[in-house]
Amino acid sequence: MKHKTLPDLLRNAELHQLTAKYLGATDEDSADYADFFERLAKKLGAERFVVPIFGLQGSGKSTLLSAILFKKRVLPVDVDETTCVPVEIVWAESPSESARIIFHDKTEKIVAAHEDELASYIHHSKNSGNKLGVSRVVLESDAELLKSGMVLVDLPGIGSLNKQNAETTNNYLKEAIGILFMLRTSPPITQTEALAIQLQWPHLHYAFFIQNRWINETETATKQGRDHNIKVLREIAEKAQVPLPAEGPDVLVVNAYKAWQSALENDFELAEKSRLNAAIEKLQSGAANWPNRLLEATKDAVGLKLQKIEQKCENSLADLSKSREQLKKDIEDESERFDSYVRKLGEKIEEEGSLVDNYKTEVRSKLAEKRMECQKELRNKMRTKMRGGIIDGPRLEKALDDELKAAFDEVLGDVHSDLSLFLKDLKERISTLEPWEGTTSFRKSTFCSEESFKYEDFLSSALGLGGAVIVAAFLASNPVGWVVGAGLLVSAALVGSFAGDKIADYLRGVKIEKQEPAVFEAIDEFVLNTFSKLERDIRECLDGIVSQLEAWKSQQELAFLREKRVRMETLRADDAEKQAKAGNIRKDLEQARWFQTQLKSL
Amino acid sequence: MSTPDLNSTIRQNVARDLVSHFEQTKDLPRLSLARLIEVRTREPQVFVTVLGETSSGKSTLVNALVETPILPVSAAPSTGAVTHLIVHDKPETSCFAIYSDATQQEISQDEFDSLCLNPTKNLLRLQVRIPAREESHLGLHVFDTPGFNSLISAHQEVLTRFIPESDVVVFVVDYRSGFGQVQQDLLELISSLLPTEANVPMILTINLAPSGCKLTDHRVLEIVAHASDCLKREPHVVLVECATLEEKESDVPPMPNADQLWSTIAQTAANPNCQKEVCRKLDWLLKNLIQDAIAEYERKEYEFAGTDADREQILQQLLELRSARDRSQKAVQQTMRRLESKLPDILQRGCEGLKQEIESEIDDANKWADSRACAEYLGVHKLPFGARELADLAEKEIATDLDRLNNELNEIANTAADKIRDEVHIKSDASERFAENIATTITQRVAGTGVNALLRNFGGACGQAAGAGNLAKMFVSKGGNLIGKTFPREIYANIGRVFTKKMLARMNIAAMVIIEVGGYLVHVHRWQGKLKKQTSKAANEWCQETIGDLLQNQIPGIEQRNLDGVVQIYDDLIADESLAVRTSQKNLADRLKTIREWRDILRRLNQNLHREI
Repeated sequence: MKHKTLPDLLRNAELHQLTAKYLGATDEDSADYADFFERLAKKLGAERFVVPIFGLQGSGKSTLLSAILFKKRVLPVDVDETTCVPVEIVWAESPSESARIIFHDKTEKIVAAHEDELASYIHHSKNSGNKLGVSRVVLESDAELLKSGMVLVDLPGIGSLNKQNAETTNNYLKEAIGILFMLRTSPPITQTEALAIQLQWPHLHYAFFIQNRWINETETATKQGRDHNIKVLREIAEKAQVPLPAEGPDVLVVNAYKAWQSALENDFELAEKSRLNAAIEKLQSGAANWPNRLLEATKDAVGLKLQKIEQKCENSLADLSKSREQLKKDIEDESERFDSYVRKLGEKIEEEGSLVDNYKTEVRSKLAEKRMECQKELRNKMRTKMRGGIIDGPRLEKALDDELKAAFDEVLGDVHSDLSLFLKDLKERISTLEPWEGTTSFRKSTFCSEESFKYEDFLSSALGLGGAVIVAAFLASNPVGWVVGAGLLVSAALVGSFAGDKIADYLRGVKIEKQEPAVFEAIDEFVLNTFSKLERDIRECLDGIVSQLEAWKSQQELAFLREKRVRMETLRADDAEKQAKAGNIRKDLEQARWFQTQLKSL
Repeated sequence: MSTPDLNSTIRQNVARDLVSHFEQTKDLPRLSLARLIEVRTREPQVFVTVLGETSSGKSTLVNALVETPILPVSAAPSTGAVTHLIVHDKPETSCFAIYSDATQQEISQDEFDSLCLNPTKNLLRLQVRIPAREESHLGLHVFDTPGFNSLISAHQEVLTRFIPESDVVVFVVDYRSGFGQVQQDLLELISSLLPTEANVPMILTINLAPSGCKLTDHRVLEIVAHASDCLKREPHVVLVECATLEEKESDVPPMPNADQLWSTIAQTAANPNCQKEVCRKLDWLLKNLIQDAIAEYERKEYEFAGTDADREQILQQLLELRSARDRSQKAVQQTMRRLESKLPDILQRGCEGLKQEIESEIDDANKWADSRACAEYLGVHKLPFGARELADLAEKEIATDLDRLNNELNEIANTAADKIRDEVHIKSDASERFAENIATTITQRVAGTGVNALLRNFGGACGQAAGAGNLAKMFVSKGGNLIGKTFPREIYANIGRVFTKKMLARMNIAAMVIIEVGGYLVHVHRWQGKLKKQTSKAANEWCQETIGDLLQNQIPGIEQRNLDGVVQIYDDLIADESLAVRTSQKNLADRLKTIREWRDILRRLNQNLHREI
């Protein structure tokens, strides 16, 4: 049987069995491997290349998407409105005239794909706090750009995430391969945006930056804004350790509003002025490149594992030809080596555990102090405003909302830079951990860990591995990538944890003389919620890291025990059994080699 | 006040010996610092700064300390200059005027009174030395400051100089007027200027309280709650009851009973932890002063003891330092020019955005019923909030660039130190040791643990003029002058916060103008246009003023501090350069002998001190 494509090869049950037999930790792993290879195959075949559009509300995300994808009014583009539900747009040769509304309870509704209709599900004002329970909206478009499998997603704006839409948003971000950050000319990148970019950027393989030029912004202002944005992005890249070309990140200026007008009116001249095409080309080249990269990375990963299997087979064969005494001694030596390995590993993980514990305590006390400060500062700020005469309800709400958001940004920024530092150190410390290689004196020099890191990181994020230990163990020679990666994803969720819309409820209908207590109560509630959520998120993120490390350790132990069992069987076997075993192993060896040739020929 | 430190005799002896040593060697900068330390090992000093709103009764409280109406008190705002009251153990009272050129002059009580009310332009400070009424008051240095009103920028000196140097801060609030916006602004600012590490005690004094008033009084509770929100911690609270006139129509204002206040201050300052901290800092200073001098003597020793070839090599090492110094200065200047060119752009751009937001806010307002509320909202929230965000943006920009500069300066210094260590060609004892000595000195200074910055601060007029050699906080507040790890943070903390607050203060003034106009608006059809014009004007003015302040005050200030920092690291070492050339000929043997003697004296002192520590 010959495989025509990589997915074909990945779906070969013999490959799953072979991998599970030699690389798995338990006999039941085969199904997991089958599942893993299936996911990989699907990813390669599905040609679904999710690119979310991320940006503050009102940065023009919906306008840009409309301009790229639709020739009529499908997406509501009202700038003052807040999109509170993710909207996904997929390719279709003849796009449907309707939209699928998918609810949290998995039910669906089909409505006309028109801005008026959609607004009542997407917009915050019509669907306040997402009371309708919409999970996401799916639209179709025949835009050329999507043909390669790119799926564009209009995400709720940074800062307008709440419990209901945070999860869907995060799922899209996990699935995302690339991301399009929508920046503004004025004001340039704010702290909230910077933080969101810093958190997402390192995990994505393509990041596009589009700066929206508003209709009233001059050429000079646009250029200045762009220069500033580039500078900030450079700094972010430095902090997030994202490699950049020497000329810096590419920030394309697009006049989204003009682009949208030109799409509606089929005005080519206007389209030219909007510079939309440059942005589309950029996205397209990213899309074209993507499948190739995934293919290469997958080939590398599978190839490397097959070599490892080959090595293991050879070792087993060597075992079979050893004398009883020799083998017994080898097994004993090996056990001793493993004991010492696992003891050291245990110590190291325990050490990390206690460092994490210390850090948690530190975070708790820091947060307690910050919380008190934040409360006091907010009270004073609001006192000033009330003293100054802001007493009418909506304006007081707005002022309070501004202050709370600013306070939240500051706290989040502090907490996050602290957490990043800790995670960076942790990453460095655990980068020395190595999986148990057993008798396999694996040719490390040819596949130095740095090389393999590239595909490990790449694939684990490509597949959205959220803590799948078995798969991760298959992929990773070192737990760093996925352990800390998972941690950062959790902390990325922090960006969305400000839910300002609730605050207004406190002030609604409050009589003027009761205003101060009501405002103070709102502050207390906000501060309490925000800080306990922050603390909980950080705790979960850190605990997650430790338990992942522990899971990884037991994975090593299981793999060792399994190998030992096989060797013990060899030890007990008589000559006839040995011969039969050798025959089987040779077959496996051949198969592994055959798969490798197949892989190379693809 | 006694120093609860068992080893104080040894410290006193070491300090005294050090003074006489530097007198002998005629090392003036070190001598003045040694003298300062020596005085403090004998006489404890406590620096108390009294702050509060205009007419809150600060001077009266100070008078109550000595039970003498030494400071003039009048109904009209008095106290134009900072008055420095020293409680000493001598029987006489004397007054001094200290001028901006660091000269001082003894003056009569009458002259004192008149200068108090109408300070001349070149007057920096008035000083009164007065006998102690109680032993526990000995060593108190009380700074009575001009009263604050909403104009915070006029009090720059008090804010940046005295607050960070204080052992105790007394904040006076008038019970009757309570805690309002002025108090809030002022106390928040004071709180932000107090070095957090030093945990300076703050005594909230509620003055002019009705007789029999308790801490549980409703008004008192309100003031305390509000003050605690500004300070972000609980203050000590002292109530001072309003004194009543005894004789009818007496012209002498009655003296309140402030004994509780002053005994609280004395107790706070005599707190063993405070004292211990002072002792620790004194030991640190002595140790570093001695070691810094030893390092210099040793460098000279190597020069004198070495061969001509050694001296040639030493000269090369010093040239390396000179080039590091030049590169550091260049780096500082480049960073400042960069900031100068980009900050105005950032602010102007942000200001345009803010104006647009405000315009749409006005457009959205209800034309018929909303004029006043809209104007107030813009004036009290939208404009100042926007301005604060912009000022924050500018501050962050400055902080980021200073961080970068700090790294660059450290890099230059460390590379130079490494190079000097590595490039000792002649393997001789003298030049190798010299290289090691100089490299270590540089590394220490870069790490912010050098004593040389303090030497400079006390050498010039600056030390005298500030008048406060407050040891417990010296390092925190002076931290900004050293290029250490904490350098940009400190600069940021001291300059940045004042900068934002100052800008905010101006913003509030601008806002007041708008509200007034808003209040008188009658023409339904015209107020929106008018308000747009007003807000836009206020935003522009704010923006221009901020840019002006940045370019004329803040950046030059930061630049100067950084350049000073560079000088403090390198210049005294580079000065040895000429020495290396000159000393090649005469009297080498004699000079070597002297320098070795000096070195041994200091090594002995160092040992004594170590025994003590």
